[in-house]
Amino acid sequence: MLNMAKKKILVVDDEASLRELVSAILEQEGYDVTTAEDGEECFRKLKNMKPDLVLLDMMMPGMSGREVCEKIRKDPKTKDLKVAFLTVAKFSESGKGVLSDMKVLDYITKPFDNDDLIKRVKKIIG
Amino acid sequence: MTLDLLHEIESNKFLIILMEEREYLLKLDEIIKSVEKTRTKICYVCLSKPVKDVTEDLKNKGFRISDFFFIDVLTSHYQEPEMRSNCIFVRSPHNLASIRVAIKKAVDEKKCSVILFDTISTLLIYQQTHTVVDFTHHLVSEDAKENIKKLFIMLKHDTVPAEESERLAKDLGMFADKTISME
Repeated sequence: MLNMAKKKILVVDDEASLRELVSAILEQEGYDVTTAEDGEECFRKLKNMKPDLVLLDMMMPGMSGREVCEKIRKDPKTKDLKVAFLTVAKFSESGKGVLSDMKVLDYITKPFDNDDLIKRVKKIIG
Repeated sequence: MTLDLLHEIESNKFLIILMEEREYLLKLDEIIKSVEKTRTKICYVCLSKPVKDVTEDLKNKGFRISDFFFIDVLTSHYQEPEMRSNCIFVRSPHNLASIRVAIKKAVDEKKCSVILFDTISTLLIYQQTHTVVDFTHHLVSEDAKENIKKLFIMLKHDTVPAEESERLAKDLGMFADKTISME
């Protein structure tokens, strides 16, 4: 795949090993992956890039995934970005309602199956 | 519409109960009365008051102390506790792993089927919000298959900044079966 055609994914997770794992899996599939370790770094990166998908960890120090997503939706420059959550937690029915309100397209439960991660990402951005 | 707390407790396993600090004592009584009606052993996790004060309050209000098993997270932090057969003393509110172990004992050995956290927002004095969310989520996931009810009392304006309490309520609300605001 030509570099220009690569879809961009921003992975935001405080666990370095998880960031490396997700990057390795998705890069092998031909995606251009950038990582951030928290919400602040995520927004610094978003100043210089427009990812096709933001994969957000739910539980992070500082801003939680929910707060990062809310901030993304409030900024006219980022409000239309596609967002999916990475989470160890199982969302409740009311939590799923909040995800829907925040236009979160999917949530991937950790630990995840590699093929499942790829399948879900492909479903969102092709 | 009147809040049917007993119904909410019986139909949800992970319940967040929000209230104003000024309403706390009154609402706490309502909650305990409803929990008692479930006729199950209650594990009372004392996060904001030592067990000595909690048991005195309960006795004065006519609750049966034999219905409760206690986990005291505060006393050992300040002094050597006087041992009680109906209480586990956790050494420090910083030690979340020990709180989890104590809760597991209360469920496995003391057969508690309702866990009441009074108040989960107090943990924000000692821990960051995401750590409290993580701790709570682990607690809820551990025995998700069993019918153990977990009630987390949360003050809207606790001794921690209001925005931290609000963040905790919103993040926990993503996983809770229901969030009830007691007005």
